[in-house]
Amino acid sequence: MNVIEADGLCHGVWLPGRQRLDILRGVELAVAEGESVAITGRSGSGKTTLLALLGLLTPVGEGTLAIAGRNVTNLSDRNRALWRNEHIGFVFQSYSLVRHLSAYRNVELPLRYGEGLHYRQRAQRVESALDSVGLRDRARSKPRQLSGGEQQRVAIARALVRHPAVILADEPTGALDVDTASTVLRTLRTACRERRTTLVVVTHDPQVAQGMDRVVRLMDGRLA
Amino acid sequence: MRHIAGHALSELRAHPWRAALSGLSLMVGALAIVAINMLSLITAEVFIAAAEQQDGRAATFGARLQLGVTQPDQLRAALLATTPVTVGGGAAAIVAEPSIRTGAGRPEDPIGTPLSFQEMRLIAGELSRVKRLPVLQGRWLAEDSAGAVELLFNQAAVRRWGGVGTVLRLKVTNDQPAITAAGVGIIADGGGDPRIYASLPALLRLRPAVLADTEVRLLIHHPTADIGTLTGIANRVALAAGGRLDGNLVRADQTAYLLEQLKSQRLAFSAVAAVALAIAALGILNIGLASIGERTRELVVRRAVGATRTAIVGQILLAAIAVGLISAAGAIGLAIVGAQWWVPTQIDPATAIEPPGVPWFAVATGVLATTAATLAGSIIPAVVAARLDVATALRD
Ligand SMILES: Nc1ncnc2c1ncn2[C@@H]1O[C@H](COP(=O)(O)OP(=O)(O)OP(=O)(O)O)[C@@H](O)[C@H]1O
Ligand SMILES: [Mg+2]
Repeated sequence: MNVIEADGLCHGVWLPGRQRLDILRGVELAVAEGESVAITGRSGSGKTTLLALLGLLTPVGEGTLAIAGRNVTNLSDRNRALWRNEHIGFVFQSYSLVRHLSAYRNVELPLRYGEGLHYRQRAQRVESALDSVGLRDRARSKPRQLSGGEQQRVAIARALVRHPAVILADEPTGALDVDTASTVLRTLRTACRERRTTLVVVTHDPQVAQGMDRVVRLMDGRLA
Repeated sequence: MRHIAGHALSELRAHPWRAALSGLSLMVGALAIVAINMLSLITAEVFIAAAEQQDGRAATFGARLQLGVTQPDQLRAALLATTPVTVGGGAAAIVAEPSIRTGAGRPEDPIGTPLSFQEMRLIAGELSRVKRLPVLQGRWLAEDSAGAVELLFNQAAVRRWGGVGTVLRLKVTNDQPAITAAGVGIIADGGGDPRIYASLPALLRLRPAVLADTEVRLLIHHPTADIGTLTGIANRVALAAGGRLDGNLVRADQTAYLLEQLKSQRLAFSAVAAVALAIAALGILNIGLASIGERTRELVVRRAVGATRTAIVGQILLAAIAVGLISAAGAIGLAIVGAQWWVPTQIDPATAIEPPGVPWFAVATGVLATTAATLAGSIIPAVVAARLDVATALRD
């Protein structure tokens, strides 16, 4: 079964002066359960724009999109939020942790929105997610007490905690040095493989792209 | 839904100082409304108290009584005839102001010392319920003291003669010798000149001619009764006293006029309160918008991991309401303490001013208004937060 099925996705924006900029012009993408895909492309080619569509952060304007077996093309803002919460995990480039919350509370965040879990179940999930990124002993630390790599691993734990069908990551190692980057990436890949979670990573780093099952390239608003 | 409370709580915990400060400013706002209202009430009370001291409580009517030489039992019958006004909280009094030059002196003065002029009012009935005449020391005149003539002094008279226990020789008729009377109480009547109040029934027994050429007034106070009913009663009183009413019963107190005058004063106070509140609301709005701007990243990330718009609005509003409620509780507490204990200690007991008590209406208004201000000041930031573009989560 495909976890992601995008068909003819288009996206454009209006620039000042009534000029239209077509960023995506018919993206076709099918990603199977447990598969990992790297999206590459020149800067400005529309990778982040595509990820925002796949992650239900932007409503689909043209084309169709199915995530985790449901056609999400015409979902309302509220239902997109709930579907994101349940089926999509995000790893952003940086500064994605809530500053005043501990690592534990940050990881718990997705569990506190959408369908509620019992306190004890929540604790179990959070601890196991922190475990799989090797930061169980830092649960009480605030983001500012963690290194950049550790913060990113907490972000990965947060993306994993609700057992989503897919994790979307936009340059997850872009702000890290080479050694830290490879640790973080290994953590992410291992966790996804263990849980058969689909992984889509936007990257311009060939090293990162190579570690994925498949690499697609965004060019002229289409995937190749 | 139950998680929204948790997010609101974490919001408060994240910025305890900000929450405390906005709470404090709200509390000050609510207290300002209560204080302004209290001030307005007390200012009005100062004028009303003076008016009720001088001319009678709302509403008091007066008429001249035409009497011949009167016997003590005629006076008693007249007072008895006033009983109907007590139904529904009314009261009546008969006040005589001798037209001769009344005089007073001390018994211990050497024989032959002339008595000096002293203004005097001779009273029967419940004058202390018709007018606002608080007893500062001692007691009010006894209903009908057998034999001895009792006196009340105002504050100026106390300075001239002395207070409770002072014995005076009084001349109340032209041709008869002075009588002796003793002070039993000191009252605040709002007058600046020495004035002595003597018990008319007691005096009448000793000097039946005292009312001969004296202007006698009947004063009737009733909070609600109409003038027709009161005129009927007044006529029966005059009849029982063996005389008649001289002219119509007319409104004697000034309170209605004063309240009309005080309307614009109240309006001005309300306007000040409204301005204070508007400033508080704008302050909260300012803080709210600033904090949304500062937390854009956090809010967008929350939205990305699954917070709906409702959840975001709920979190921000609930946190604001919690702060609002806590400060409202504080404001109510302080207002009660202030109105119940502090304000009374600030009012000179030698005046007729009665402390206004807890102005519940103002407290309710203050609390409601600050809650409204909290909501007004946080709804806009909440909506701004809910409308942030989630797609920017990927771009910062
Ligand atoms: N809201 C917007 N308004 C105007 N232009 C936009 C908007 N969003 C994206 N663009 C433009 O669309 C193009 C694609 O942007 P996008 O961020 O998707 O590129 P990208 O492939 O992620 O680039 P990078 O590798 O540098 O992150 C860019 O030229 C960008 O300027
Ligand atoms: Mg990008």
